[in-house]
Amino acid sequence: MFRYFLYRLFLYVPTLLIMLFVVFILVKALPGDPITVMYGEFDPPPEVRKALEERLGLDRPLLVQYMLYVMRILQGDWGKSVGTGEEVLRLVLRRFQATLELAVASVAIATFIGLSLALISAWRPNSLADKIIRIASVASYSIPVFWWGLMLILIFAVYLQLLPPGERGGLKHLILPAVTLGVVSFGMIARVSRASMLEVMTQDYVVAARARGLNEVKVLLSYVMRNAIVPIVTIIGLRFGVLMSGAVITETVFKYPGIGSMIYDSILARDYPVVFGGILFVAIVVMTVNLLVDILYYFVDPRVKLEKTRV
Amino acid sequence: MKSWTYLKGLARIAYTNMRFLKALSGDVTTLIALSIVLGTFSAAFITTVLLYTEVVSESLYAGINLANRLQLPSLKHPLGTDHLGRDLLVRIIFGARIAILVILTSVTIAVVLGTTIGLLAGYIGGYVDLIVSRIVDALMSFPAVLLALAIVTVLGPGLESVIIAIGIAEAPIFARLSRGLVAVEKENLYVEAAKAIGASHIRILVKHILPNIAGPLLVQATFTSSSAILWEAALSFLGLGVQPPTPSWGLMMAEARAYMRVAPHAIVFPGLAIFLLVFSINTLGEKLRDLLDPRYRALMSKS
Repeated sequence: MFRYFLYRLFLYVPTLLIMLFVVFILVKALPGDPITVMYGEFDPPPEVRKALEERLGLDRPLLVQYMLYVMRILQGDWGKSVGTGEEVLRLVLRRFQATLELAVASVAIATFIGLSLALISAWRPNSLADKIIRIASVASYSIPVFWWGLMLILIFAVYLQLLPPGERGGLKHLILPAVTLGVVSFGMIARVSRASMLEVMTQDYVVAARARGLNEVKVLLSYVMRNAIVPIVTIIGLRFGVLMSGAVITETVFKYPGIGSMIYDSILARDYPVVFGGILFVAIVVMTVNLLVDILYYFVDPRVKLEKTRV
Repeated sequence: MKSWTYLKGLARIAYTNMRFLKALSGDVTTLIALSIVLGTFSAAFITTVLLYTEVVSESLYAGINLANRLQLPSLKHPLGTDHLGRDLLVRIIFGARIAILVILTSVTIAVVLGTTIGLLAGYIGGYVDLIVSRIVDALMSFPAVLLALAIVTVLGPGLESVIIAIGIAEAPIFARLSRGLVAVEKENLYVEAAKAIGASHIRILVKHILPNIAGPLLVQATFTSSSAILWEAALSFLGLGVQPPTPSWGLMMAEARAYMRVAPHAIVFPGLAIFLLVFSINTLGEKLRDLLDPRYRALMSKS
C-alpha cells in the first residue's frame, strides 16, 4: 500500500516538472522580450534592465533559466502583476476561492442529476426513459457553455428577474453559473454511471437479491449504487480538468471573479505574469486532484490493489 | 488470381459498410444527426465554391444595412437580422465554413501529431515510452481550454492561432490512446509474423498495426471534432478567434451579446447551430463506438 503511494508520488514529480517546462517554454515564446513583458508598455532604464537580466538569469543557457524558473515557482515567487503590481501567487490564491465554490456547486448539481438519471436509465435499459435520458446526456455535453449561460441570464435575470445576472455575492449569485456548468457536465457523469451500473446489474449478487424478492429501490440503492459508485467517483475526479475548462468560460460570461475571468481579463490587458500564473495554478490543482483520486481509488476499492501492483 | 482476391476484398469492404450504414440508419436520432452533419458539410462546401467562383460576393454576409438592424424573424429574414442589419440565416450558413474548416484542420493536426508520437512510444517501449508517457500525462493535466488559451496568447488572436491551439491541445489524447492500443496490439502473432518475414518497423506500424487500431482512433476523432467546434466557438466568443466580419458562430454571439435584451434571436440562433452540429457529431460518435467496440457488440447481441 505504502509502496503504491510512493509510486504515484514518484510519478507526480516528473509530470509537474514537465508541466512547468511547458509553461516556461510558452512564456519564453511570448512576443517581445521578457523584461518588456514584465514591465508592460514602458521600458525600464538600461541599468535596471541589466540588473533584472542578471537576477532572472536571462543571460544564462535555457536549461539553467528553466531551473531558475522552477526554483522561483517552488519558492512562491510567481512574479508580479503588470497592472496592479500585486504578487501573482497571492492574486491567484484569492481568486481561486471563488472558482472552487463554483466548481464544488456545479459538481454537486451535475452529480445529483447525473446519478439520478443513470439509476432510472440502468434500472430498465432500452426503455423509453432510458432512450430519452441517453439523448439528454449527449445533449448535455454538446451545449456551448457560454451560450447556455447567456440563455439562463436571458430567462432568469432579464425576463423573470428572479436571479442576478452575474458577479459575486451570496448564494443567489452562485445559482446561475453553477447551474450553467452543472447542466453541461451531468451528461458525462450520467453516461459513465449508467455503463458502470449496467455492469453491476448483471452480477450474480444483484440477480440473487432480486430473485429473493428484495424491493427494487433497495436493490438499486444498496446493491447497484454501492458497487458502481467507485468508478463513478473516479470519473468525476478525473474529469475535474474538463470542469475547470468549463469554469473558465462560465466565469467570463457571468463576470464571476474567479481564476477563469482573471486569466481572460489578463489576456486582454496583456498582463502575462497573471495569465501564466493562473494557468499554472489551475494545472497544478488539476494534477493534484488526479493524484488524490488515484490514491483514493486505491484505498476504496480493494480490487484495484491486485491490478495496480502488477504494473 | 491476384485481382480476384482484390475484388473479394472490395466486396467484403462494401458488405461491411452496408451493414454499417444499415445500422446507422436504424434509428431516427442517428438519421437526423447524419443529415445535420452532411448538411453542414455541404453548406460549407457550397458557400466556399460560390465565394471562390465569385457567384456571390462577401457583401452577401458582410454588407451593412443599418436601416434593417436588429429585426425580429420575418418572411424576408427567417431568422431576423443582427446589429448591422445582416441576415442571420445567411450568416449562419456562411458560418458553417469556419466550423468545418476548424474540424478538418485542427483535428488533422491533433490526430497526426498525437498518433505519430503515441505509435512510436507504444511500439518502441522502454525509456522512450516512459518519457513520452510522462509528457503526455503532463499535457493532459492542463485543462484543454487553458492550454489553448496559453497558445493563443503566445500566437496572438486569429483563426490560425485557434486552429493550431486546438490541434496541439487535443493531440495528447490521441498520443495516449494510440500508445495504449499499440502496446497491446504489438504482442499479437501477426506482428511477429510480419517481423519474421522481414518487414521493416515502419511497414509493420503503418500497414499492420495502424489499420487494426484505426477504429478507436476514428471514434476519438469524432469526439474531438465536436470539442474542436465548441472550443473554436468559445475562443471566438471571447474575441480571441475569428475576427470580424467573417461569420463564425461564436463570434456572432459575441457581437450579439450587447443587444441581448432587444434582439435575443441574434444570440439564440447561432448557439442553436453550434449545439445541433455538436450534438449530431456526438450522436454519430456514440453510434460509431457502439458499432466498433466488440465488447459492446457482444453485449447487444446477447440481450
